[in-house]
Amino acid sequence: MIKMKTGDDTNFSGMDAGIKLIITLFLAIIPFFCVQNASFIIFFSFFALISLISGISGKTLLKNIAAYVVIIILPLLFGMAVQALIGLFTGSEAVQVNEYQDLFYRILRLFLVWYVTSLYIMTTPMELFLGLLNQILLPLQLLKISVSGFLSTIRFVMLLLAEMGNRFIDSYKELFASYKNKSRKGFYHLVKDMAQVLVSLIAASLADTDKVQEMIVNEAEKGFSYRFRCSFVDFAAVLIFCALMLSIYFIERS
Amino acid sequence: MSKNKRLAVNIILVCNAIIISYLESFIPIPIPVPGIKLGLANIIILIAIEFLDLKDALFIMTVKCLIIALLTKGVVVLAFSLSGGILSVLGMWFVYHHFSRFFSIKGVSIIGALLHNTGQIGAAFLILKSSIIFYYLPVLLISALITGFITGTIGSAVIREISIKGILHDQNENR
Repeated sequence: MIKMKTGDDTNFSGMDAGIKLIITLFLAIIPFFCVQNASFIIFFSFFALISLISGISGKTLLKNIAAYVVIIILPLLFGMAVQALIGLFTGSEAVQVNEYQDLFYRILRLFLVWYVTSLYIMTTPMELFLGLLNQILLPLQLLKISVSGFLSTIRFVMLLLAEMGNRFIDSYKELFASYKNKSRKGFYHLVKDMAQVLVSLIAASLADTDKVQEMIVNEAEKGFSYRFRCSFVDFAAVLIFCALMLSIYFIERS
Repeated sequence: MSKNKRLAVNIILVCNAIIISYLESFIPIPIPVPGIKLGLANIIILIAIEFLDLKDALFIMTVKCLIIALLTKGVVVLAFSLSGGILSVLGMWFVYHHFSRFFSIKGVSIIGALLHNTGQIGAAFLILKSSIIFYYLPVLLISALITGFITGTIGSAVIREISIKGILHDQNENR
């Protein structure tokens, strides 16, 4: 579950995480300055092409899109429908076309931000990403904010999920299977059964506390592994990015 | 309790929360409404509120939201889940520790669910700059009453069992 989504096995995993991050940030910010429809079409086409070339699982990408649709688009569509209904019954012009147009472009830009950051996450090994964040956020250490400690914790969770995830998932699947099978017994029994299984699973996982503690000590010594390196692929990526920016610039000027 | 042991307990609870969150998507909800799920991972937050510190509960929620957003939903969604999550932890903690005479674990869970959904809609309003999104709030609040009750019922049973078995006993003593 975890491994396939941490960007270890895509065609862009070998790229430098820092260069990729700078390009990603530019690609996330620039759509907010664009007004021409052609620019958005170019952005979408470019991202779709990157998705294809990178070898990201289509299923993973669709799941991400579904999350965006469910969390952002559907509530908005619902709101628009209610507003239109209110306008219909009250006879007032509740629907402002300009307002919807602005909203549409905001959603479009947000979608591009979401898309390009998702591409970054999906094509960057988590270890490198955390290492890069550790270097970028280094100034915060001066303010006595334990950035390394927090990032290490994220790494520990990822490691534990990779190591113990399947065992946990199998146990929880049994729990949900029993939940399904016992669904005829009534709410009270369901709650009782679920609570008991959850307790036994939480207890079983907490029994590994010493093992996790050992892992924390061992992993803390390793530190983060990001080192800047510029390969031919990075150079090509920067060139393609510059070409893209130039074309967007000319479209916007026209 | 040592710092490392506390961290280890928190990490294990985060893992449990992530896995429950991942697997609950397979549980069919009788009336499927977009954006609504049972929120069974909130049980872990209820456990943290009962047995650990506010700092630990916030830590578990933050790390859970971060990892789920990074692995499955995308960075944009992080703003929504984090704002809802942090607001719900703060609200649940406040109610549980200051109004425990009036609210059971079920009540605390319902308050958490209500605040979670309100926080999410608030974040959506700030990001999208459109009040249209607030029309969806009543739908989310009604569903929060139901899902919060279900999660709270299971959560209170889990907390009772944990107390009886003394599983997080040493963590509770160190508070």
